[in-house]
Amino acid sequence: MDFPKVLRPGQAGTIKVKVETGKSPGVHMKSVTIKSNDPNDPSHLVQFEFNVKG
Amino acid sequence: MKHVNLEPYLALLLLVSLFSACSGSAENSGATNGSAAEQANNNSAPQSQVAEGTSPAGAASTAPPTVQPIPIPPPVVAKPAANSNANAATVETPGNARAAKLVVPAKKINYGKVPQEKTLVRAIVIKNGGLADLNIESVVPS
Repeated sequence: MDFPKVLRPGQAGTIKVKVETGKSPGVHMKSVTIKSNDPNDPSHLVQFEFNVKG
Repeated sequence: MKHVNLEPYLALLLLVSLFSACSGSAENSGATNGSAAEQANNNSAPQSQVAEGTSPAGAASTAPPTVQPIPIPPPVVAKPAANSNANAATVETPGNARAAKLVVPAKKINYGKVPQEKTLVRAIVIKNGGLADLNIESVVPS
């Protein structure tokens, strides 16, 4: 997982996420948790949904 | 002819006459019990006090005490602010006023239809919406 370590106030960055689609067709759900020093949201969950074609 | 200053004597005479006038009215009111009783029946407080002090017995004690009701003010109910609940979610504590804030566009990202056995590489754009440096400690799959 590639992500910036520090973001200045107002600065944006990108987190690169690699997802293995697998063999089984259908709708799949994966997620990552971003842990930071945000006092109101120290552990933020981001979900990914994709549909594997058969 | 010698001029005599009479002003101190006049002042003394005036005081004596005033004192005698006051004491004389008290004696007159004490002598007539009927007028004292009439005064005691009145509702005004100063007159009833005069009747109690001057009448020998009975006349003042029969006068019922007057009770004046004191108006009770209506209870004051504290009204909460109209938008107190509406702004409750957005109020920040003073300690977090200058903290870092992680801003992620969406909590759920849909990639749509994808082929089998492929490795997808996607980028999530995040932003620091706070006033302090945002330290990303880790990004782990869950």
